[in-house]
Amino acid sequence: MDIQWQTWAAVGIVVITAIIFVIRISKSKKTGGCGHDCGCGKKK
Amino acid sequence: MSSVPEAPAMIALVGNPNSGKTTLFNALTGSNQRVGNYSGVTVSVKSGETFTPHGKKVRVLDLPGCYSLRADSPDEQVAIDALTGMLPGEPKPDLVVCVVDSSNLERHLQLALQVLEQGLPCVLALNMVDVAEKSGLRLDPIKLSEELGIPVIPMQANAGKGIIELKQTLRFPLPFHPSAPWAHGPEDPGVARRSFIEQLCALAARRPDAHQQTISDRIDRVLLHPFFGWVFFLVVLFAVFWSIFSFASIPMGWIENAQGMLGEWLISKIPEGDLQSLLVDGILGGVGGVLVFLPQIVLLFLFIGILESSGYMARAAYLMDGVMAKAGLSGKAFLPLFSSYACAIPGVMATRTIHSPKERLVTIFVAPWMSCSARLPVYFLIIPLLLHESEGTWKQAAILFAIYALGTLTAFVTARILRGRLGEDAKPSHFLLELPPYRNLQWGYIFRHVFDRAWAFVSQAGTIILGLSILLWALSTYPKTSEGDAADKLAHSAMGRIGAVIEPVVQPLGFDGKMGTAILTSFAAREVFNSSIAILFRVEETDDEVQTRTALRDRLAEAKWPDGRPLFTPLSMISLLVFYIYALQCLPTTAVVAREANSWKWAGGQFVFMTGFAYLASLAVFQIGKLLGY
Repeated sequence: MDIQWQTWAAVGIVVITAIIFVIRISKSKKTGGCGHDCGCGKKK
Repeated sequence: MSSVPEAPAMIALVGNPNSGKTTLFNALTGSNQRVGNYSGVTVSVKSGETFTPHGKKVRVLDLPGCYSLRADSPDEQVAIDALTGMLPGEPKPDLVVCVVDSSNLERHLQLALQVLEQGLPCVLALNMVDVAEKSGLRLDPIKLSEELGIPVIPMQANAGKGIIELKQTLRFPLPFHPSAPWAHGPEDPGVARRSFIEQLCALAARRPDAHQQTISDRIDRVLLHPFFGWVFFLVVLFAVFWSIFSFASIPMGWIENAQGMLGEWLISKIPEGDLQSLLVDGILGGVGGVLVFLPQIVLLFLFIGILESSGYMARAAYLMDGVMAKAGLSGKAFLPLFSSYACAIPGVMATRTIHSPKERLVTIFVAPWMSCSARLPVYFLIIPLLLHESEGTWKQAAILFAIYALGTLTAFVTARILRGRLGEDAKPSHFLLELPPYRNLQWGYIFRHVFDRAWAFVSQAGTIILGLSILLWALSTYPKTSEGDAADKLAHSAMGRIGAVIEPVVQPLGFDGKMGTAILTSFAAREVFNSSIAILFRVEETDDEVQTRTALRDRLAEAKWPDGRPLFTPLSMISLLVFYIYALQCLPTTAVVAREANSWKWAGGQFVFMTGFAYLASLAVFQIGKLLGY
């Protein structure tokens, strides 16, 4: 019983991690400068 | 009767790189932005607040250092945008404080005159007067003020001297500078400015002993000497490199011990099962594997801070410029690449000092090919297998040197090709390097800089590697089987199955499915190869790393293909070494590259290119070796 509970907990953590990754990748930053760290605040 | 003068709502600090803007910004606002005795420390606009002597709040903008207002670089464009009110979200400044290095007045006044030509209210902060006086310069701030028609404040921002006097100027009504007399003649503006500055310096910045050498000049006679300069440079490099390897090993041991103790504590508290395995093997192993590099990163950035703050970094970049030019890079790329021998992560982060965006991207791209310390466990496992026991250790050292040389040479050739293909920057970025005077170290700023870098590493790379460690653990664990030992369980997992599927792909390199699986698991971090191969070849790991490695080596020497041929031949091992020299098997590096390049595409492209290159190089070595009868 204990081992099964551990399996569910571990799988839950893995699934949550995978969801967070998918959300982060799909919400990639649209702002944040020209990519040159010059502080201009706009895409060139 | 005139109305009560309003304090400026916003002041902008403008000046050449290394004129002390950030030091002044910190002194005015009480913040702790990074300061270096090295050009290009401020690479974005910093904003803070200060108060006038009457207690009115004023916003302060610290603009990137620039040499002119010609918009030759992104930094200069930012400065122009800020001065003309075009910077997104920022109004036109009410007052511009032109920060100049008093000991380099002739050059720094060029920018100050260009700012005055913009017609903005302006104050000249005559910074580093102590350095100027030590160099024998006789400054006359009153005369300068009369000639320029603006307030001139002599100051020493790093000691807090002159700050009160500067703040006093914030409460007076500052009229627009009426005209720039030098700019209205028939001459070219640049020539007119130089001529005006010459006259101004003859009046207000006299150098009675112009031919006397400063202390920095005398030090540079040795440190920039064609022979002794290089000797000193190599000694400094060796000391930095050696210190990172040797001193870092002590705190790295502490982290590993803490990791081990925490693992044992977790095992004692949580019964055996998936959650325990996830916490101990997946999360603790994965995050600990990243945190263990923290001492190296702290030490490296401590040394970078010391070298920058003292003024030696600019000399190192000057010395290396010629060598780096052969790879299409400038002297500023040297330190990031050198740092990558210890670990590519701080190396990639150190590329921030490179002004040219394309040069920075190229440096980031090739940095992982400078063999990092994480590859060493794999090299130490494989190299002794290549040689007979009776052969001397110098041969092992020679192979190790050849491995480092191969990685470095390939990185330089690739940088050269890539730099050519990317072309010049949209705005030309000349390697204009100022050799600042040597100064006492500013420990407060150095430690702040080290803390910032260390925190960025832990928080950014740490969070991403935490997630990836969890996912990799899942791939190596599921689907599960209750039969067999650890090797059978790994073979049954998704990772093991992928290894079996890719056996036909890795066979042309001289590897079997087990080796393929071990290589696959080491894409999270290279050193994982050793523990994976120990599991796959059924070697019990012990506390003694050397003993485990010897047992593993014996087992590998006995390993055979199904037809009885030895699995590990000298050729297959060279092929394996070549693969590990070139493959980008470090998730934290990929995460940091994505952050520093602000592009997952660049990080992904680098990963695919390096892994593809490693595969082809390994394939070529094995197949050509076979054709030659090895």
